[in-house]
Formats: sequence, structure tokens, C-alpha cells
Amino acid sequence: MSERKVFHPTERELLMAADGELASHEHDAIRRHLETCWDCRARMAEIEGTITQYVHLRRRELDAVFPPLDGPKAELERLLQAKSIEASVPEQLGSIRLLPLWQLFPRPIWISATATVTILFVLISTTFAPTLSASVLINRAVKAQSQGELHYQAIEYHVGSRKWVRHAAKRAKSEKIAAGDTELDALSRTLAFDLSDPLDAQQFARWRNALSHKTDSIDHFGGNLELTTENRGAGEIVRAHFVVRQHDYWPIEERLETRQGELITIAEVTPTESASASPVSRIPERILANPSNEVVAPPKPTLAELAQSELMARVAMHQIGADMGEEVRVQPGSSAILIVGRTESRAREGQIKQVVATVPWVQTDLRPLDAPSTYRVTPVRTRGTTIQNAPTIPLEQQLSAAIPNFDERVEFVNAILTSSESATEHAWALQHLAKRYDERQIRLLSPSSEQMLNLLVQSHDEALRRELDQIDSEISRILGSSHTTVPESDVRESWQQSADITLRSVRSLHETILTNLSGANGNETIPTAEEAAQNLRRQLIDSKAAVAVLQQSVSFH
Amino acid sequence: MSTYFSWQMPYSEILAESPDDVAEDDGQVRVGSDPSLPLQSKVTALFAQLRAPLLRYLWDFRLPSETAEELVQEAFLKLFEELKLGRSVQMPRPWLFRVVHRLALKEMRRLRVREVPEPIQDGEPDPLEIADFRPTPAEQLLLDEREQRLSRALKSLPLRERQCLSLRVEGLRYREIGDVLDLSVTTVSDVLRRAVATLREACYE
Repeated sequence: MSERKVFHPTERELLMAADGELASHEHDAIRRHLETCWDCRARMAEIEGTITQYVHLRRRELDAVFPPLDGPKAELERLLQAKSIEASVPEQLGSIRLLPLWQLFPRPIWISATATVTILFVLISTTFAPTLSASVLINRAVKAQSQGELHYQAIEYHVGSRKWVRHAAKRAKSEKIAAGDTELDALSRTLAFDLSDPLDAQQFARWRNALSHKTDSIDHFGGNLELTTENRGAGEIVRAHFVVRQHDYWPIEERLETRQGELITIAEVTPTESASASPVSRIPERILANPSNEVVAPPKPTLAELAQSELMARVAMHQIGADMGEEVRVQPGSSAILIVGRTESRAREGQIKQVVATVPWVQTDLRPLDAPSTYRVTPVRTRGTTIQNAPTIPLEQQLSAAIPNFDERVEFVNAILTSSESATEHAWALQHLAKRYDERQIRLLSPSSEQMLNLLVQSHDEALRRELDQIDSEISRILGSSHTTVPESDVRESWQQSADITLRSVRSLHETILTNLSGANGNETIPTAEEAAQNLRRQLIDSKAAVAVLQQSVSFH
Repeated sequence: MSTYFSWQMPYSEILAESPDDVAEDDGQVRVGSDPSLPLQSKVTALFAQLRAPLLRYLWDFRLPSETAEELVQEAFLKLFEELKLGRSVQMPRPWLFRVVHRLALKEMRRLRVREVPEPIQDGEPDPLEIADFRPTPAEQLLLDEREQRLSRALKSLPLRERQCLSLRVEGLRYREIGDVLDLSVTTVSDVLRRAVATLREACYE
């Protein structure tokens, strides 16, 4: 009997037991087993421990990320309010009428009908993705306008066969009185649609909300979304089209059709934002019979053009230091270079947008973090103060001997930390460039672009060396001059490999500095002063050697 | 009317430890238990409770934060429409997760198809598969070591495993997770087992 084999629960059973997902008898069996088996109990404890750690990590990472509830809640309330007014009459009728129809036909017919409708729906929704509701579209347009710093440069009006252009900036309506303004005012009054504030999403929303009966449809043209609202009730405007750019919901055109058959087109003459936009979108000639104007496919960049734009974007971002570990990525696509990510502030977002504005084929999708987030950790500035109450700084004696004044000491450590942090960032940037610019990508570059890439790499490389030299000379102050000689190396590594190695060694140099000069070590054993000094020197030599190899290995000179 | 519902929320004990969670909901979410409240305020009340969990769930999709916020709102608008039409939503919590999940997939598809058709690089991970907002060098050092390992392991998990974990941590049962992700309960338990095993290895290696 005692030789009977004991069956230990599997990992899955343990997890399910912990989650209360087992049937009660299974659960009891496992509980009894755990009472007898320490081994399994330890496994169970590890599972629970893992879950606890995960929950804590998640809390730490996510809890402060989201903006407070109030704003979004108020917005939802507003949307619900709009929805309840808009949806009240027709939808209820619809659902009542549907029911008897449902029961009129025998089962097989409506099953096949449902199948057909589903297939059609799938087809339509995949062809015309994205599907969104009119109110969401308008809502996003309102948001885009309320956030946008941009104005419309010039707006063109077509009323019947007449046409005029207004140069008034959106925010300064009174600035300019164009020839047609009196006519516009008159028109605004007849239409009950304020034309003096053209392309205003809120104005469109006001008009649309006031309609008693309406149907909406959204079409997708080129890179734009067009909302068409049909007015089935009273009112001078029978149909209105509201066109927004798909990628940022910025309104670019309005077309109003009146009861008299007149078409009023309002559109921006010069594209407001992206340099990548296709040539000035002129207003199409007045075509009443066939409003689905054919959109000429925008020109598509070649791979080489894209490669060049990408590099230009990288260089531009380098100029403002946005390529050193910020959450902003340059993401190459098949028809555009996308700059995506989160910026610390709206100002930073503007800065990045500004420097890349002149680069062709570039689109930005940046979101500033409004609320302070736990995602970016504040830099090392304050860490020097740990000297005061942390007795575990291995090189403390050397530090105090070389720099007796406490404040100076703090400053000294901070300076080294800043250098090593900046070195890490440059090494990181270099590693990213090395990863991105493999042979294939470099082949796409023109000679001048290659030169540009070279300069970009050199700039990081020089900065990295400068920081390392700086660290070297600072460390010599406390450890005595040693002038480290960097061993000659003839190892043939690829650019990518040596960039990896460089990043790794610069990172561990930074870590060593943290541990030995500011005492920011984890649970590791504290090294003696000699060990620390040796370690620091070795890491520094390693880093310098790695940088030397890196420079030789750059593959595109 | 069938539009009123109430249900137990199986929060894990660890989550229930936190004082703010207890304050927000003491293990119970009741919506519509008071028929005198208009539908709108019921939906808004539910929004106040579930917005954060839904946003946390969407985090793994790496959508821009504003988009995530809009998707959550869209889901609540859909819920409102459903209830307004007199349809009953038995379990709003998993229902909302499911809707949000689908909207997010659609949004990801839109981003991928229309804007980010990344030419797949050799050995380069798919940006949408493994979201690559790695911690900056400075952050890397600040995290304590075990947490760092765990965080790394977490980022290395396939999206599906991360989704299962996120849904579980928000208190969904295996069956409900299966409903959101279109998986069987067995698959859910298996995916979770794998995910926990990976994390456990990172924690206790």
C-alpha cells in the first residue's frame, strides 16, 4: 500500500485550483494533497507569489498612467445625451416592425437570409474599414480642431458658379473682409448654417443635431473620410457632406446641397499640416449629377525616396535629441514614414512635429502624456544625495579624500552619472541605427543620404567618446591618473554586433558607476574599494575598446 | 424589464487588498438595481467603475491613449444602445471587455493596413506583436532586479498570453475570458498556465 505511486497535481491543476476553477471534488483532492506534499505546496506558493508580483508590477506600471475619470465621464454623458435624442424615434419603430417580419418566413429562409446578410456585412466592413458612427467622426473632428494649433490658410467657397477665396485665419475671423462676405452672411441666414466659421466641426454638429429626421453614411475616399448627412425633415440644406482626413480627423471640406439644387463647396486651398499631402486639393468642378468625384490616387513614393525621408526624419529628430530613448519611434511603412509614440508634453510634441514638418512622406502620430506618468522615471539628478545617508559606497573614502566638501562631492558624482547616462543614451541610439541600417537598407540610400547617415552616426559616436573621456578624467581625480590605454583590437565584428557590445559595456559601466560612486546597488555584496576601483577602470576600458571597434566596423563608409 | 442586472464581481484577494478598489466597489457591481434611475446614469455609473479596468486591458494593444479612451467610450455607447433597444445584457463586465477587444482589433487592423504596413525585417519582431516601448536605459536600472526580470518576461509573452493575464487580473473567470477572446475554457487554462510558468521562471530562476 505504502508503495502506491503518488500523483502530484500538474501546474495547470494547481493554477486552476488557485483560481477556483476546479470542480469541488477535484479542488478538495488537491487541497488534501497539498496538506501532505511540501513539494507541491512550494510550487503552489511560487505560483501565488508570481501572481502577486505580476499584480504589483501591473499596478506600478499602469495606475498613474490614465488621466482622471472626470473629463472622459463628462464626455460620455454628453455623447449619451446626444445619442438618446438622436436615437429615440426611428430605432424603436424599426425594432417593432422587424419582429413580425421575422416570423413571417419559415426557418430555412431566414437562416440563409441571415447568412447572406452576414457575408455581405463582412465584405462591406472589410472593404470600407473603418466603420464608425457619424457622431464619433464629428466628435473626433471637434477634438482635432480644439487641439490643433493650426489655422486654415485660405478657404475657397464655390456657390453655384461663383467662387471666392477667403484668407482669414480661422482664429481671426474679423481680420479680413473678403468680397463675398456680405453675400455669405445673407446665405448663412437663408441656410441657417453659419458660413462665416467654415469647416468648423462644432458648427456642423449643431446643424446636424438640429435635424429631426436624418440618415448618415460614411465613405472612404483616398485618405479621407466623408460623412454624408441627408436631411429628411425641414430645412434649406437637404444634404451635407463633411470630409475629414482619416489619419487625424482634421476637417478639410464641406459640401452643402440646397433645396434649390445649389451646391456650396467650402474647402481649404492649401493643406494645413502635413508636408506629405498630395498637391493642393483643388475643389472639383461642380458635378451635381455624380457627386462621387473620382479621386486621383496620390503619388506613391519609391523605396529609395522613403529611405531618404526616413533618414531625414532621423536626422531632424537627432537635432533635438529625440532619438535617445524617448518613446518616439520612426516607423517605416510602405507609403509613408510614421513617427509614432508618446511625448512628455505637448510642447515636445510640437517640437518634433516642427522639425519633421519639411520632410516629405512623413506623418506623425504623437500623443502627449497629459497626466504625469510613471512610465518615464525622473533622471539621476537627486541620486547624489544618497551619499549622505548611504554608508555602502565602496569608493567613499577615495571620494572624500579627493573632494572634501560634501556639496562638491555630490556635484561631482552627479556630473559623472550624467555623463554615463548620456553615454548610455548615445550607445542606445547607435545600436538602434545599426539595427535599422543593414546592408539592404543602406543600398536604398543615395550617396548623399549615405553621407548624412555617416554624419548622424559620427555625431553619436563623437558624443559617446566625449562622455567616456569625461568620465575617464573625472574618475582619475579620485583614483589617480592612470590614463587607460585601450588595447588594439582586430576582431572583425559586424556593425550590428559591435553596436550591441558597445551598448552592453556602456550600460554596465553606468551600472558600475551607480554602484560604486552613489551606492545604488541592489542586493549584491558590496565590493571593497580596490575591487570597486578595478572594476570601474575595467568597465571604462571595455567601453572605450568597444567604441573603437564600433567605429571601425561601421559598414557603409 | 430585462435591462436591469446585477452580478458578483470575483476580484482576486490581492486586488481587493487595495483600499481604492474596496472604496470603488466592495466586490459587488450593481447597475440598474434602482429602476428609478434613468438608463443614462446607469451606464455612466458603470463607466465610472469599469473605465480603468478596460483601459488597463487595452494597454497591451499599444494604441494611442486617446484612441483607447475613445474605444472605451464607444463600447459604452454600444451598451447604451443595446439596453435602449430593450435587449438584455446579462453580464456587462465580460460583454464590455469583449466589445472593447473587438474594437481594438479593428483599430489595430486599421493602423496596420492603412498606415503601418511595416516591411518585415529579418529577425525584427512584429511591432504590434511585441510592443517595443522598452524602458529607457535609466529606467532599466531603477527597477529592482526581480521586477526587471518579470517585466522582461512579461514583454516577451505572446500577445494572447498577456491578454489572458490582463483579463484574469481584472477579475474575469476562465469562461468569460474565453468569451472575450473566442477560446475554449481548456485553451484559456492552458494559455494562463504557460504565461504563469514563464513569469514564475523569471521570478524564481
